[in-house]
Amino acid sequence: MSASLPCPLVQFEEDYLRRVDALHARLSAVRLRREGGGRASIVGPGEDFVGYRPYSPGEDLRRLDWNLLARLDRPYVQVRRRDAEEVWAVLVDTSASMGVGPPGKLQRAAECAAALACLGQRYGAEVRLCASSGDEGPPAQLQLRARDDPRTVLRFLEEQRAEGSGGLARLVASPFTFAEAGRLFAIGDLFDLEPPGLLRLLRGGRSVGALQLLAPIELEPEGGAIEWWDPEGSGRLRLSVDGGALSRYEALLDASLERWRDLTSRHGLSFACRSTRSPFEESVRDLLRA
Amino acid sequence: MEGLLEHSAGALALLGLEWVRPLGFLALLAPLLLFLFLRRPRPPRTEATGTLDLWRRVEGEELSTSTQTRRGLSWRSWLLCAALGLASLAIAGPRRERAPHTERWSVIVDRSASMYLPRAPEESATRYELALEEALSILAEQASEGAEIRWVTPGEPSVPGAAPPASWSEAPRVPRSEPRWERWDGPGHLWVADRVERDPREGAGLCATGGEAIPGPIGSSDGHWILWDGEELVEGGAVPPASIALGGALPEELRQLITIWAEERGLTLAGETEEVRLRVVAAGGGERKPVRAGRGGWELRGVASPPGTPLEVEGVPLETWLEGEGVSLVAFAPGRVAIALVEITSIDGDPAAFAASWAELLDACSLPLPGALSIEERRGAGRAVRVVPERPPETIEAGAGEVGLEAWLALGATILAVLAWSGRSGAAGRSPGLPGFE
Repeated sequence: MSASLPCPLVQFEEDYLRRVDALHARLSAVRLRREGGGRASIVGPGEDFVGYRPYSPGEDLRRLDWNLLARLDRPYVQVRRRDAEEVWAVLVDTSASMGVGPPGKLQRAAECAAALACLGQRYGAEVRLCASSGDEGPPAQLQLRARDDPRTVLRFLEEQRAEGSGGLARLVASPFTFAEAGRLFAIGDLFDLEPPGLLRLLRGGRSVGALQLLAPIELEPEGGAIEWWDPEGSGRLRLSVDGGALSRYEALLDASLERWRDLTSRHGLSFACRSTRSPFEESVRDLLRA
Repeated sequence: MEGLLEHSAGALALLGLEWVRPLGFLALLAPLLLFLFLRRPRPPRTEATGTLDLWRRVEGEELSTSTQTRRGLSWRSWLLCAALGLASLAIAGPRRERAPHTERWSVIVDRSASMYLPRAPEESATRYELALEEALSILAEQASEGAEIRWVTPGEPSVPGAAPPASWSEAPRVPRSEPRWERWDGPGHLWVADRVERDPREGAGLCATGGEAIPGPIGSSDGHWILWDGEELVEGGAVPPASIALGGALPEELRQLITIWAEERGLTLAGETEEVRLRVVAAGGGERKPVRAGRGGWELRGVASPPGTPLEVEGVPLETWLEGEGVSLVAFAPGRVAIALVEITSIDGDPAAFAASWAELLDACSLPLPGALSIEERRGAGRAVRVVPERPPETIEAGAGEVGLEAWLALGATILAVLAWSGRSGAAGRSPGLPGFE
């Protein structure tokens, strides 16, 4: 069934990492402007100094240890306790419905997940990537530490394809060890997951963000005679869609999204719904803004 | 293709217009086929979605399923069809339908004196009546319904109508010359005469009655008719009295001269008889000024009061006979002489030459005796001739408005096509059948 999916694969463009670098620089600038006021954001500096790590381009220069630079002639940044202990978990839905597009949902989800992984790595966190990877076998996992090559993340995600019916619900219910993660990001179309399933992850002060990616054909479908089919099942439905049907569909979709927004805001989750037409930078900023 | 359309079919009248290239209507198949193509039934397009459950709920609430539907046309498709339709109509070459009387005939009528003679002495109908009857018969056969016919005779404006004016059946008091036939030789022209010196050669028709010699008076002398019996001249009975009319303030010298001339010709002054053969009138009225003019060996000096406009009598323009100081002093027409001189102070030269000149003028302008025709008019007119004229070429009045109709259609088609095409890029790729025009 997935063979006829319009966008089942992931392919990173050559300038992807440069775009991540630029995104990191912009987020750092935002963090500088916020410093000293209000609560700390998810990328804010921790409180206690625990050591040093090599400086990465784009990082806040005020975290650079100038004395160490003078002595060793190599740049190091100070690592705070929160950064040092941070574990980020990024859950990616790779079920067949993520192959809907264009632009493909899985492609955009992979771009967002890779960006989060790279950013977490630069902030000194240990990042754990987890993809649902079909119905057979355990979910695919990747652990990214501070000194690992970020290209491993891209290779890991490019191996994924949209298939099977197990999406985020499968990941949330799996024995995957994200229990120690202080930050958790769930990326997918969220069609197989109800808000309560995500709320259960809010344990131990964990910060949870959810990104719902929808293809244009799901957000703004066109009218006419259409045979809809569900990539994750055998369901097919032939409809002659007119203006009234489109209005009703939009109303149902809005109600579903509103339910997500309502529950996540009441429980302190960050939630964003984006079209796959949006660049990954905007979606990542939505997740990290909370 | 254009040449084929031009020559493969005649014009077609439709919808109040004339279509000079009716095969161009075949091009209407293009927008029709395009419309049918775009509206063809098609299976529904297949789309993957993660929101099938939502669509099922929509279906359950208000929609019925169907397996095939006809395509709804976008505005771009409508514009494209309309552009092709307008272009097809432009190819068909619409013209405003020609008026039903665009076939134009000219009937040239000889109203010389012989036309009012009978064809033979024992007949009563005039040659004019016979020739006209024949001409109307030919027109009935040849001219299309609603054809425009005009009647032409020398010395008068042409008259449109199915028949000539009724007054033409009477012989004109002032003799008329024969038409210059060669001027009217061509398709759509019909000559009406009793005889012509040469038959038409360029497509004109001819109704010539012919006729025998008609003996009768040819003039008068000493108060008696001079008759032509077909071979010789003989003296006839007494001529009915005739007169000359003098009007206005004429120079005394001229008044005396004209009176003497009238007595010599047996004419009395107007009012004593009903038949006036010549009217001599003063045509002054303008500013008085001294003039000097002469001809034929004499010269006069005097005062004139020219009216400032060409001399005329009763609306009939006159031909100048004597001119001085750049103005017409004496002018004439058959039966009429107008004089702008009000005073003659001196006459130089031979007095006999002066009198002879005026006598020639008065003789030339005097109308002939009623019933008196020249021998040439009374001679036989030969046999009857009937030549059917060629039909006149159809007049295509292709003015700016005619071509403009076609041009406006082409312009409209271009604009619609541009509008349709300009909207195409935004919709490209959405239609599997015709990208951008679903």
